Parts: sequence; structure tokens; C-alpha cells
Amino acid sequence: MVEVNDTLSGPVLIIGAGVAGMTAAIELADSDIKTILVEKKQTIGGNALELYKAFPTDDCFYCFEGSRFRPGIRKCFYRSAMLDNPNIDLRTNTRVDEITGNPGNFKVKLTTGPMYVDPKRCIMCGLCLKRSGAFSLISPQCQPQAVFYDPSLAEESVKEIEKECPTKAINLNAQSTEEQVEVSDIILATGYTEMRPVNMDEYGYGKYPNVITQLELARMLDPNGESAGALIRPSDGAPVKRVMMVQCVGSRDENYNLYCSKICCVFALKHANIIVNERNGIKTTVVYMDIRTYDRHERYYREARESGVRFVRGRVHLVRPNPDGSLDIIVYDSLLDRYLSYNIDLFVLSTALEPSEEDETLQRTLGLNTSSGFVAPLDLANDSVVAGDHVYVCGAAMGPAEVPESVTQARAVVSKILQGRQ
Amino acid sequence: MMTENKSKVLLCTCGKQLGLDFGLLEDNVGKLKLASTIVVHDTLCQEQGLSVIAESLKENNGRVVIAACTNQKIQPKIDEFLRNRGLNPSQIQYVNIREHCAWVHEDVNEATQKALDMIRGTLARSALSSSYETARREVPAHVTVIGGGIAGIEAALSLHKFGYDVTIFEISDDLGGHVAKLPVVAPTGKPGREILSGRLKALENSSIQVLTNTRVKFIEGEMGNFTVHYSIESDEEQTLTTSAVVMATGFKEFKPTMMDEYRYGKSPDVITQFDLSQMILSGNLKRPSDGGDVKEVVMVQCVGSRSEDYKRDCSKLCCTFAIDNSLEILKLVPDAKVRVVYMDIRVPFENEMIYKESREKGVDYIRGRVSMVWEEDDGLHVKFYDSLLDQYFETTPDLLVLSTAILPSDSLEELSETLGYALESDGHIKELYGKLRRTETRRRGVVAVGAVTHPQFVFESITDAQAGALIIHNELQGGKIERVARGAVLNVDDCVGCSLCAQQCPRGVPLMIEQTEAEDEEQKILFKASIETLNCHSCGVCQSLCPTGATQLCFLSNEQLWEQIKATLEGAGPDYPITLCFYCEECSVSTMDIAGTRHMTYPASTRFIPVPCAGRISIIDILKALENGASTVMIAACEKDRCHIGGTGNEIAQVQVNVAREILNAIGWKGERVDMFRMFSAEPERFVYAIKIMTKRAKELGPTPVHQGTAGKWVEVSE
Amino acid sequence: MAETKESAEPPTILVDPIDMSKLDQSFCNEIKSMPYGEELVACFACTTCTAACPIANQWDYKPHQLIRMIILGMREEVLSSKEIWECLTCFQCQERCPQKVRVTDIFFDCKNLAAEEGKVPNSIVALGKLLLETGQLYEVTEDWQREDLDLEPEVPGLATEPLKEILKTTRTGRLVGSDE
Repeated sequence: MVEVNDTLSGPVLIIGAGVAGMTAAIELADSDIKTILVEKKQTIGGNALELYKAFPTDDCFYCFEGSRFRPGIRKCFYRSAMLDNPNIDLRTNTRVDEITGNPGNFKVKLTTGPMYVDPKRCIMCGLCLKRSGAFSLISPQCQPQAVFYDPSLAEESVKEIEKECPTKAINLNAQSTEEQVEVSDIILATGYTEMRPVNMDEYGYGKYPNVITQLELARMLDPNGESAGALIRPSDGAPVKRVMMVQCVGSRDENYNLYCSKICCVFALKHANIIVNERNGIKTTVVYMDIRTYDRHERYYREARESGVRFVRGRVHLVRPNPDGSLDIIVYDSLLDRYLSYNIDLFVLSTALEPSEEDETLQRTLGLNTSSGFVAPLDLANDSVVAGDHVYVCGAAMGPAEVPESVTQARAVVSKILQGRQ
Repeated sequence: MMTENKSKVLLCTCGKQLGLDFGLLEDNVGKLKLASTIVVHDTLCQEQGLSVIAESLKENNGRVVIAACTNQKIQPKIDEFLRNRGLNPSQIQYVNIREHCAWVHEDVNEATQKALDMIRGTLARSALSSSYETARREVPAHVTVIGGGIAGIEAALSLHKFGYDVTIFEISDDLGGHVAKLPVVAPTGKPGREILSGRLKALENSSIQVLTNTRVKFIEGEMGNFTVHYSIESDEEQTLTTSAVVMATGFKEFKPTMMDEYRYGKSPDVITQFDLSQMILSGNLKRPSDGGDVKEVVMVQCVGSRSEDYKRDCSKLCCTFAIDNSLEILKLVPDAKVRVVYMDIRVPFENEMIYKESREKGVDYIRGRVSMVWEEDDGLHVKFYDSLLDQYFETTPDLLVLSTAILPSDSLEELSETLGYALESDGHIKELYGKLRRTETRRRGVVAVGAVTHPQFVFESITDAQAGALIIHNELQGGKIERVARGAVLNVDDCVGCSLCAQQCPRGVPLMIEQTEAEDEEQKILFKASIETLNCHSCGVCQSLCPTGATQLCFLSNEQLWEQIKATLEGAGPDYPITLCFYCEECSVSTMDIAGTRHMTYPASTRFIPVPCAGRISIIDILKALENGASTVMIAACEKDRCHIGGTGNEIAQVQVNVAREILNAIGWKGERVDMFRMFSAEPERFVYAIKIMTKRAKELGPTPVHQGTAGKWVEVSE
Repeated sequence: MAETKESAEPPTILVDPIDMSKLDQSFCNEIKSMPYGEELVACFACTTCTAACPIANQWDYKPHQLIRMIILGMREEVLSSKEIWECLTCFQCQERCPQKVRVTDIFFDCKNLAAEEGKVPNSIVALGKLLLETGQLYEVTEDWQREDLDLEPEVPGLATEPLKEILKTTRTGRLVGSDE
């Protein structure tokens, strides 16, 4: 069943199944190249999936490009059929342990966590979901479309359920497995992680429950999320009336990250617009040093101002918690040269976007260039997606990137791989 | 009518978990005249079930109706399984009895009745279906690149490596565009010429045809068969046949001669950033007015950008550009004083560190604006306001450099009229889908790379170009296109040449061709449509607008849909008012599926019919639904600007709905019986909300004239 | 880092902040709904208006700060400021604003609102008085100049009585006449 492709070219390993990784996988699959798509989480989609609405199109983040296998301009995630694509070997809950060998002939050791539910067999019939809380659906859009089993919530009934599953998809005794695969090319698509600013005392993140990050806010705004999209205070569940956002937390900062995280102004304003326009009567203020809404994203800034979002060019002077969970925040306004004091329900920090934790090991193992901790291209003057011999990089693994950029970079990677195999 | 084409029905119980009365269903489906045999199976999507499907297909000549979970998930799997066994799955029809039925309705009996009705309807569609195959089309393996800047060159080289013949058209005498004239390209620190040199050499050593001083006048045709009309210098027009076009015409810098406050065009010492780059490149940094040394430079950001009078959006590159140029100035004149007057400094990612470097080297950043510029005997005077110090300052720079807006290149509009790509409101080429399809345009076979779509840094343009080359390669497949021929098929004899299809097709597929080959002399002057099915995106807009039924989707003819409507609504009456919902197989089906997965409940007095795009539904289809007993008719479509097929299918559906409503109001049938709702899957409540409104209306508006038997008779209409 | 006590006491606040909850949000909407006020909130504080203004150098509150204060709702400070009255109405700010905020017209709106509340500077009131009494905003000529030019001592034909009647019914008349 595994056909040998072009001479001297084996499958391509893609580390990370976010937007970039998936795009690369689909495009390679369409060109009849076998891929192994590895993802450390249980489901694929990466950071983008948890962001409710995407810029620049303001529609749900759940869509993904069509392909020859699944034609269409775009398809919602749940129906993107990633698992069924014959040229994509999707391994979720899998990590890359070791890479040895030579460019063009890498030997990669993969460790996959216990597969309690086989996603290829699960039909989401609902039997297990109805009978035990240990079985749940991560989200209705999750890919693979399969039930997730949490052993820590196991009860007596799970053994029965295992027997009754109509497709025998459940295996409660599943163990971790290891496998060594041989691949000719590696694509790094490990994305970014949002900084959790626990060390920044001035903001109180981690100390005061009503201080959150932008990604946490996005999850709250998602109608498929826990609060069905309503904005409520983490401290007591009360409805939020006043929101304050602070930009450049941990970015452009000698103490943390020197670089600009590029997309946080845009998505902060995307969130501010949603909050003001779609969640009635919530006042929002954005505290900034420079608003960086590049090219057409300027419209988010325009719309925010028109919708009534207030902007303060300055910095936070003081954050003081009140017994009821709200925060008194004093901000310096550099244009009025005055201090302003606010009473805020929800304090949102636009924190820096940093490389994923696994990146450092991968970079060292493969001997790649880095820039600010992200993977850097081998020779930027030549092109931006080649990181080494038979090693490529795309998406936010190279530096904070918007979804369309990640997609274009992934396609450029595939373009280069195909050109090399002509 | 074809009543002989029976289909086998496969009912899936989804592991015996579906809340439907399968006994009843099996019985009743068995009695349907268009059903041959019925099989109830527990897991159709698993190995054994798939074999049953394969067998059924062989038995029944390809006509199978599968009633199971959403076809959106199982269809690719089933198709793959069947194709691997040499079978043609094109005639299989699906009915969703899970997400659209069992999972969302509380009453098992109502849900079962609904499943039965929808299966009956689908059998009618299946009875008239025809199969389609993979078709092959050979096209010249040639691509045209318009624009010889970095993006155009990179695209040409990539396409060449893919094995295509390429022709680059460049309007000036040299390749390289703006990049060739840049002293430094961020963040490599290398001059533009160096970035280009390797590529230009590769170009020389290849068979890529480069035509400079050449202007493209217009382009006709479609993917696989474009004809480019061009002229070199002012010579005669020539043509070139090509299969795909890459637009890479880059950008133009705004020249702010109308902004009096800066005195650009009046004082020679007021220049743009690009003018400054040229001076730096030549190594000769001198005052244009009198050749004196440059010791002080003032730069102004956002000239013409972020302005309601000129360009509304940010031009992205100019802050980085200005900072790079300041560092270059300091290299040439180490004790020069550079001041940058800005509103927001916008430098992405590691460019922030170059910003820092410039501050360390003494570049002065002033948050504020320029008050006035004037000339005195001792030269240029500039007064500006510093908003952080709340002070006005005056200085006498040697150069005033304006960071002006990045505008789209000239003649994009003119070419769009023949080539058919769309333009954004700011004049740049419009991307097919801004999130996932940035390099593609409205027209298949036309990609746009580099700054022609939006301002891009050099390495972004390079990446764009490589991606664009891949897109074209995927489309042309080396010149041997092989694709499933599923789309609109035109019968030219029935075509009356109204050209509605050509005008309204969201992707510009139908072409109007002069009938010079016609036998009848009278016919020769006519223009009739021509549709290449392999280019078609199967939305059905052409079909819904076609007055004669000349163009129809090969998998959903007019007859099929009408029979399906009739069969679905069999027995529909005023006592259990039915809402018939046409849903698009893009956003709507997703919304409905997610509503199903979340087990959201809504009334069961609803019947669903899938269409590829809401644009497929015409006024006639809506009226037929009412004619056959529906109480209300609903169209579920993608959100505004989000039509998945091409961008306008849903709007055309809206027009059809509006006209239908007017007609109904005019004949006293109450236009509110028909409505269109837009949705997307992140907000499944939208569908539930829509259904609740339409079922409520069905009850409140009461029996239709069809129910009352007064349809077709004269009735006084009172307001 | 030095050892710190577990629970810190609330810090002493030495700055004197403006309490946002006390500001009048409706002021922003009020100006926005007045003629020429629609674009008020499009302002992104670029400070072009201040840069363009010929006399803002002498103002404590610059034009961009006043617009910001309106948006924030600092009604008192704006309506009792001297700056809005010192505006030369040259319209430079309005012409150059990249977001088309009609700054000068907004200042006119502010002046009208201030006048409604009687907050008009004395110098303007004095001008109003002059208008009411003489029908003119300034002295036309000095007596000795009229003698030198061989003109009649009084400027003929100025009908001040009807003017006074009309003006008395206006706000100007009210503001000025009440002082008499």
C-alpha cells in the first residue's frame, strides 16, 4: 500500500499540525507525496482553532482549504477529512523524540501517547458520551472527529462501554507506542505559544483572576466555549461591563522579548470590536504605545474607534484589586499628560508570542539558524522557508505570523520540495 | 418521467444509536416506488459497511441512496474506497438522518417521518441522475508572468523549475522593479541588486522568455487557453497563447504634489523615501537644490496613508523603509542628524530591533506632525509639533523626506476588464479568499503575487511568488489536466446568448463566443456562451439564471431538483405546515451539522434539500416548493462576502428571494413565506433561530392557496 | 531580589488621576450628534490639528487634547476653556485632518454649548454689548479722522433700533442684555 514515490525521495515529516502544517500536508498529498503529520495535542488545528473569529476575514477560524481529495475553496474543519486522506499519515498525541541520520534520509523516533479511542473507527455515535463523563468531545469542530477519553475521570461503567462500542474503537488498556520512521524531508510547523506574564508584577497576571491574556479572551468569546460566548468575570462569573486591554506586554521589552509580536494589535482590536459590537454595552479601553495595524488591518483600528472603543496612548501606572474582584487601574495618558483612573472588570493583556517549547531542541538537533528563539531561514536573501538541507520551516515557527502568511509560507515550502523532486 | 430508475437505499443506524424508528423506516421506504431494495446497516462507514456500499453500487448500476450521518464527513472516505476498486461513485446521493434529523428532534415519530420524506425526495433526485467521469484536457504548458520585479522573476523561476515555458512581460527596459533600486533590503542588510543578481543569472541561463519595454493590452480566453495581446514599444500588436497568467505588477509610490503643507514638487529638497534610496544607492547624498552637504534630515511618516483623503489603510513598509534609510544616511554621513516625525511606528517582528539600533545611533523620533514647510534664503525650514513634549519646534533640514503611501500599479483596472480579476476598493487586486487563498484571484488560472495585492516586504513577495507558482502547477498539472468533470454543462443549441451566465458567474467561467462556425447565416452574428466544465466551480448560478435551461449542473439538473421538491413534499398540507429549507453545501451544511453535533433542538416540521451553492436556487425552484405544498420556504446560505464558492452566489440567491417575495406579495400569497438566512458554523444558533422563525411563520400565515385549492384562480388582493 | 513581605499594603497614590467613572460619557455623544460632529471618534490622536494650528502655541489645551477631552467626556474643562474661544477659525486643522474630523466646526459646537450655559468669556460678552448698542463690532472711525476727511460727525444711516429688537430675542441678546 505504501508506494515508493520518485526515486530517492521518501515521505515528508511535518512537525506540528496547525494551519501551516496542515496546509503543507494537504498540498504535498495533492501532489502524491506521502506525508507524516505529527501533532503533540489530541486534536489538530493549533492555535488558530481557538480564536473564534479570524482576521482578515472575520469569519470563523474553523475553515481550512480544500484540496483534490476534498475539493472546494475552503471547508469547515470538522469536514476537512484530514484523517481519510490517503497520502497523510496523521499522528496525534505524538511527539518527536529524536532525529538522526542525514539530510534526505532522516531517521525520526516518534512517541505516541496511549490511543484510548481510535479516531479512524470512532463514528461519534454518542453511546459512550451519554454514559460516562470520562468520554467527551473536545469541540464539535475537532479534527479528527472522534471522542476523547480522559482516564483520570474513569468510572466503573467504562469497561462496559468499551465492550459495547459499535466499532470497537475503545481500548482502555492502550499504551504509549514508539516508532522509528524514515523520511527524506522535515518541515517545522510548530507555531507559537502565548507568553503567560506571571513574572510581571505590575499587571497581576496569575495573582488576580480577572487578569487574562488575549487568547484566553478569544476562548471566552467563542460561542462554542464554556460560557457560550458571554463575557463573564473569571473571579465570580458576573457579567463584565468594563474591559481594559494593554498592548506590548512582554514584547518590545528588554526584560522579556525585544521583538514586536506583530499580530497582537490586530487581534486585540478584533476582540475589542467583537466586545463592543456584539456584546452589548461593554466599554472597552485599549492602552498602547504604538498601534500596529499593518496595511488593510488598519480597518480594525478604524472600526474600533467608530464603535466607541477608547484608546489611551500611555502605560499602566498601578493595578489595585478590589474585594469584589474588580480592579482599579491608573493609567498615564501621554497625550493629555494626565493620569486617568478606571474601575475595570476584565483586564486583558496582549502578551508576546513566543516560540514553542519544543523548538529549542529541534533547532539544536538540526543545527538551524535562529532569530529571537524562532527558526530562521538558512539564507534570507535566497528565500525565507528553507531552514537547512532538506529542512523547511513555515508558519509562526519562524516568527509571529497571521494565518494567510502561514498558509502562503506552507505553500512556498511545498513549492520548493516539489521543485527539488522534478 | 423516469420512474424506472430505482435506487438501492442503505440506512445506517450509526451503531444502533440513532433515535429513529428503523423498523417503520425500512417498511415505508420499501414501499416507495423509486426504491429497489433497502438494507439497514449499523456502521456503513467502517470496512464491512463500505464493502456493502461497493456491492450495492455494482448491483444497482451506480444508483444508491445512503441515509446516514453527514455526507460531509463520510463522502470523501466512501469515494476513495470505491475509486480504489475501480467504481464510479458519482451518482451516489446522501440523506442526513443524523445531524439534520435524529440528533435535533425530540419526537421520534416526527423525526422518522422527516427522514422518510427526505429519503423519498432523494430517491427522485437519484432516479434522474447521470454519472460523470474524470476528464482530461491537454493545454499548452506555458505561463505568462506580467511584471518583471522580484515577485515576477521568482514566480517565473519557480514555474520554470516545474517544467513550464514562461514569458515575462516587463513594461520598463529593465528587470528588477523597485528592488533593483534599493540600497538595502530589510532585514538582510544586503542591497537589492545583490538579492536579484543570483536570480537574474538563473533567468539568463534558462529558457524563460523575457520581453522588456512591452505592454500588455488585453487578454482574452480562460485557463488553459488565454490569448495575450501585447505590443513591444510602439510596434504592432502581437499575440501569445498561454495557459495561465501571473500578475506581478508591483506597486507605485504616491507623489504628494497636492499636499501643500509639504511643498513636494515645489521645493527640490522635499523628496520621497524612494527618491532618497536612489540618492543613497548612488553614494551621493547631496541637497538637490544646490548640491550642498546633507547634515540634517527630517522624515515624515504616513504621508497619504491612513488618510480618508488619499489611502485609508496603512502602507506597512514605510516605517521600516524610513528606518533603514536613516541608518544608511548615518553610514554615509556619520554625524548627520536624522529626525523622524511619526504617528505610530510600525515595525514588525525583528524590525523592532532595527528601530532600537537607530535610536541608539542617535536618530530622533518625534511623535507629532509637521506644521509648516517653507523656504528662506538659508534653505528649507520645517516647523513641527511634538505631542509628547507638547511643544512646537523649528529646524532647517537639508532634506525633507516624505514616507508616502504605497499605491497599486497603473492600468490594473484596465486589464481587469478583460482578464476578469476583481479589484479591492483601494485598487489592489482582490484576493479570492483573504484567509486561505491569498494568491488566487476570482478568475481561475490567474494568480497575483507580490505587492500587487497588498504592500509586502521583499522576502514576503518571494514567498508569495513561490506559493503562486505552486497554485498554477496544481491547476495546470504540467499541461495534462485531469479532473473530475463535475460542473455546469452547456447545450449551445438551447443558448439564446443572453449572457447572464457570463456576467454573473462568480468566477468568470462562461465565455461569450461569436458563432462564426454556425451554418445558419443569421446565427453567425450571435454570441453564445461556452463553458469549460473543468474550470467550473459547480455553484449553479448560471443554471438558476439561465432562461432556457441551456446550462445545467451535470449532477443537479432542473428536472432533478423539481422532482426532488415534489417527492419531498408529497402529502404536505396545512395541518402539519412544512418549512422547506434549501441549504448550501458550504457554510449552511456546516452550521446545520454543528447544530446537530451539539444536539440543539428545533421543530421537526422542516425538510432539507442540499444544493451546492445558494445561488443554484432560482425563483422557479422557490415557487415550485410552494406549488407542491410547502408552507414556507427558506434558503440557508453563507454570510455576506463569505460565499465559499466564489463570493457572490449568496447575493444572487438573495436577489432571487427578493423577487420571489415580490411576486408572492403581488398575488396575495404573502411574501414572508419565503426568506433567506445567512450563517456560519461558529454560530450554530443562527440556523436554529432561522428555523424557529420560519416554522412560526408557517403556523401563523396559515394554509397557502395551494392548500386551499384556490391557487391559479383570480383572487382579489387587499393590502 | 530582596525578601518582600507576603501581603503588601495598598500603595500610596501620589499621582492625582482623573476618575474616569466621573466623566460624562454623554458629552461625547452630544457633540457627535451635533452637526459636523459625526467623525469625532475617528480621531486617532495623530496631532496634525495641533501641528497645523497657527496659535496653539499659546494654548494650555492643544486642539488634539481638546478633542481627546471631548471623547473622554471632560465636559466641564472643555466648555469652560478659554481655548475654544481663541480659535481663529482658520480651518487649517479641519482641512489637514487625515480622518476628516471637523475640528473647527466641533469647536463651534462647543462654543454654542458653552454659551447655552452662560460660559462666555468677558471679552466676547463685551463684543456682544458693542454689537447690541452700536450695531457694529468695532468703532468705525475716530472723530478727528472724520473731521480731516470732511465727513459728517456721525456715521449716517445705521438703524440700530430694529437691530436691537431682533438681537434681544436671540441668545446673544440674552447673554449680553442681562447685564444691562
